Formats: sequence, structure tokens, C-alpha cells
Amino acid sequence: MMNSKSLFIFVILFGIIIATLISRNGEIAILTIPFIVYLCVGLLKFPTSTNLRATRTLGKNSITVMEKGRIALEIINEGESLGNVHVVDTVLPGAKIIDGRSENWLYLPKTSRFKFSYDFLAKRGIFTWDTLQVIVSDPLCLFEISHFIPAEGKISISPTITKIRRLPIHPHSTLHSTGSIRAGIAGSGTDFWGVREYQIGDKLQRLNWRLTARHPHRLFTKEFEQEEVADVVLVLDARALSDNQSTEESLFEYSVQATTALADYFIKGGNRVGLLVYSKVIKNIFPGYGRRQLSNILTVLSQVNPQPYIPLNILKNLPGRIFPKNAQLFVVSPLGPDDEDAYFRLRSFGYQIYLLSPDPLGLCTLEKRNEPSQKLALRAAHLDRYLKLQRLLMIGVRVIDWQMNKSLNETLYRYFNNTNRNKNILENLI
Amino acid sequence: MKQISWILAWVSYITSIFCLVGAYLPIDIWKILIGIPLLALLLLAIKKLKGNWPIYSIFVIYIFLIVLGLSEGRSLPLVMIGIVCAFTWWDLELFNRNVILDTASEHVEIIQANHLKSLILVIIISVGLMAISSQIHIQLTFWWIFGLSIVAVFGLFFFFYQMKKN
Repeated sequence: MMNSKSLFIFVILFGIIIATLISRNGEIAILTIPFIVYLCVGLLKFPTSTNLRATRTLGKNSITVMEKGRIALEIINEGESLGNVHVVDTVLPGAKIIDGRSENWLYLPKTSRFKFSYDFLAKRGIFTWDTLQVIVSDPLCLFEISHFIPAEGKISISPTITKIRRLPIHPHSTLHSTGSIRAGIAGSGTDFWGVREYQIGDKLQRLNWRLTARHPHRLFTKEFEQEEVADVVLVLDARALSDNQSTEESLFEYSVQATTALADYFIKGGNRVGLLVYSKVIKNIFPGYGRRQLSNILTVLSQVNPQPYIPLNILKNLPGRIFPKNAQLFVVSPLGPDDEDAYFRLRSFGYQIYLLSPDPLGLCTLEKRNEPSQKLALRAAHLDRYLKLQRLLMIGVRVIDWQMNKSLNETLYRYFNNTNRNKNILENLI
Repeated sequence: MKQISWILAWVSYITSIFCLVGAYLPIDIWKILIGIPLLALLLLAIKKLKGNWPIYSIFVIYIFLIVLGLSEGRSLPLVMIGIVCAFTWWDLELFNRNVILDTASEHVEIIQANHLKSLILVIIISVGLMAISSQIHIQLTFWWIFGLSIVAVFGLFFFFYQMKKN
């Protein structure tokens, strides 16, 4: 009930009484009068009972990291008049209030209500509120009572979705349903596949007139590559090594953003997409289609945080339902020290693997980069990474080396439009 | 309306300083020459630093100087006006910093008015009681003073305990 102000008054009163005793001067005792009157007025004006209710309304229950969130709070006073009410709402961890205030001082007459709101930008995560703190005090702010009124709310802040322009992957096998991934067989796609002799039932618009003109009395039909959907499993490495703590930018956040972008791209392409978050506590979403699946993936990605390091070997024991046979694996990982064996295993099971590897050295801030020793250390680290990636390339893992000074789209574009894909790793090393 | 609190706080502060200087002026001016720069320094700290500690510190120093002055037989009316003004400044300064600067709602003026009414009530009652008390001249022995002080201290602790309990 007492706050620092009233406590201070007590200390002053105590001090003045002691000073009176020491100096044996009654006039000093007169100085206690304003303080005693102050305490008495504060106590007399303190509200005897409170009856408050609160409601919390969220602008949107689900937003992305860059999106502005809004919280509207309403306080309803169903009891006696309250002269000094301090409302304090819990601000999300790491959130920045951009408009309005999360706390307010109010005057609430009998049976009245008051609304206020604030806008914020917050970090990735799922957050819940249970209560709202309301501090009721006297007009002199001497005595106060803190109430925690139920005001529930839940918000999911998912990572921002970066739109990937084009990702022409070629899995060994596809699911026999029309999609956007080239299946490697003739069919009804858009990319030219070949020419064959005309058969009854072929559409006339597909006739290859030029070839037909060269061979009188014979007709030829153009064939296009069939485009189908595929099984894609995204693996996000959420071990502590994937989070570079040396800078303000987090390597792990880049990985999460990339996984989100990939999930969005593949699901919107009609593919069956699953997710596995690899960390001490493994989280997974079984492969599925559609917007609901994307929403599930985003919910998981909103909550993931780097966990302590564990070896990647555990992947070999995962059930086939998570990694369907012949699925295209898209691993987003900066590559740990003993990860190669796990990739060997997965390749031996016949999985095609793309490794999107954000370069941890790209975010490394060596203050004295120009010093010879630092330069040498950085080069050694680059070489070590290069050798690891080279070994993975040799076992058939398709490595996309993501330099942090380039955007995800730029990296993917460079990789998929480069005839010598292995060159990109070497380029980065140089 | 918001400016009234600030103006009142400043007027109170300046008045309290004048009272302090006035009480000390005829003799022992050197004591004030130590205290006043310290008060000015802390006043600068209020503007520059976050937190309320400079306001509390100024008030404690002021009370110390007042008590010191009274124990040396300085003018009681000046000291009484000084302490009431310093007390008003301290309360308004805390209120301005913690409530007015922190509030965006339209209720700020009502809260401020309520606060000022209560403060004026405190000042009027305090000045009245202090004036009456200053007219009472009873000679008490040390043991009487000691006994009354003990009662006051126990009373304070009891009040404090009750507040904590509730």
C-alpha cells in the first residue's frame, strides 16, 4: 500500500524527531507538522473500495514482424469515483511502441469507462496477456493499491515473408498432380520438351508446322514438359551454432526468414510441404498442402529460438512420415562441425538435398579486420567452411552459399542461373 | 493548465531558497554558501538525469539546513515558510515528472486539479497548525522530551506496520 514517497515521508519524520531529541529544541518538532498533515490527507482521500473491469482488443491476432500491431484497452469503473488511476500494460519483450502509450493516468468517475490504445512493432513470437495492472492511489500519490484485472489477449507475430521470384528445382520424382515443378516427362506444361509423330487426338495447335513442312505426308506434334507438385521438406537448423551473437543482427533470424520464404513459395506452388525444426527439442509439421499448412508452419516459425547444440546425426532415425520417400529436402543451416555424416546418411537414403547455408562469417565483426592476425584467422575460417561445403558437394548435396551481404532472392537467382553452380562457393571464398 | 504546476513549483523553490538565505543571512553566511551551490547542482541534475533521486536529495539537504538553522536559533517564521515552500516544491516536482509528463489522456487536468486541491488543503492546515504550535512555550525536562519522542517513534512504526499490513 505504501510507495517510495510515503516511505520517504516516514524517514524524514523519524529524522526530525531524532534531531529534536539530540538538540533538545522543541521548535524543530514543529517541522513534522506538514509531513503528518500530508500523510493524513493522503490517507483520508484514499478510495476505500474499487470495482474495475478491463477489456483488451487486438487490431489483428496475427501479424508479421514488420507489421504494426494495435492494442486497445478499455477500463470500466463500476464502483466509486477514483481520482488517480495508473494503468500499466505489459509491453511485449523487445517491442517498440510507435504510437500512443502503454500506460496512462486516469480519472474515473462513478460508473464510467475509458478507452486508450497504442501501436507497436514487435519481435517474432507468440505472446499472451492475462491481466492488466491498475494502480489506484490517493490524489497525493502517497498510498496505492495494485490490482491485476483480467484482460486476456493473444498475438502471433510471424516472420516477414520474402517473396521468392523463381526456384527451379528438379526432384527425382514428383507427385502426379499438376503443379509448378518440372517432372522430367512429356506432358502439358509450358517448357518445350521435344517433338514426336502426330497421334490421333493430339491438339492441332500443338502441331509443329515447320517440321511437318520438311517431311511431306507426315505430321509432328510438339511436346511440353509436364509440371507437377512435389514433396518438399524444409529443415531449419535451430541449434545455438546457427545464431551469431557477436552482432546485433542474428544469423538465426536470417535462417528463419529464409525458411518462411521457402515455405511460402513451395506451398503457393501447390507442393506438399513439411517442416522440421532441428534443435534439442525437435518440432515438426507433417507434409501438407494449402494455406492452413502455411499458417501452421508460420506458427511454428514464430516460436522457434536457438537451442543448445546437438549433433545432426539424430536425423537418420526420423520416421519416414516426416521425410516422405524421394522428398526434396531443403536444409537451412550454417553447417555445424560434425554435420557431414548426417548428410552422407540422408543422401544414402536417396533424398535430394539443397543446403541453403547462411555464412556465419559474413556477420562476424572483427574490429581490427586489417590486422594481419585477424585477417589470417578470418581466412582460415573461410577455408574451413569452403572445405566442408566442398565435401558436401562431392556427395551430391546442392550447396547454396548465402553471403549475408546479398539478399536471399539475389543468392537464389545467382545459384539457379549459374551453369557452374559449384563456382559460387569458390567465388565467395575469393 | 499543465503549466500551473511547473510555475507553482518554481515559485515555491525560489521562495524556500530566499527564506533559507534570509534565516541565515545576519550571521553564518558561509554555511549557506556551502548548501546553495549543492542545491543548484542537484537542480541541474533534475533536468539532466532520469529518476527522482535529485529531487529527494535536494529536499533532504534543505531539511538538514533548516534543522541546523533552527538548532542555532534562526528565525522560526522564516524557517516555517521555507519548509512549507520546499515541501510544496518537492511534491509538485515529483507530480510533474511522474504524472504530467507521463500522461497523454484528457484526464490530466482533472488529476492535476485534484492534486492541487489536496496540496493546498495540506498547506493551509500545516501553516495553521505550525502557527499555533509556535505560540506554545512549555518548558519540558529532557525525560519528558525523550518520552514523547519514544511515543512518536513507536506511533510512526505502528502506523507504518498497519500500512504495510493493509
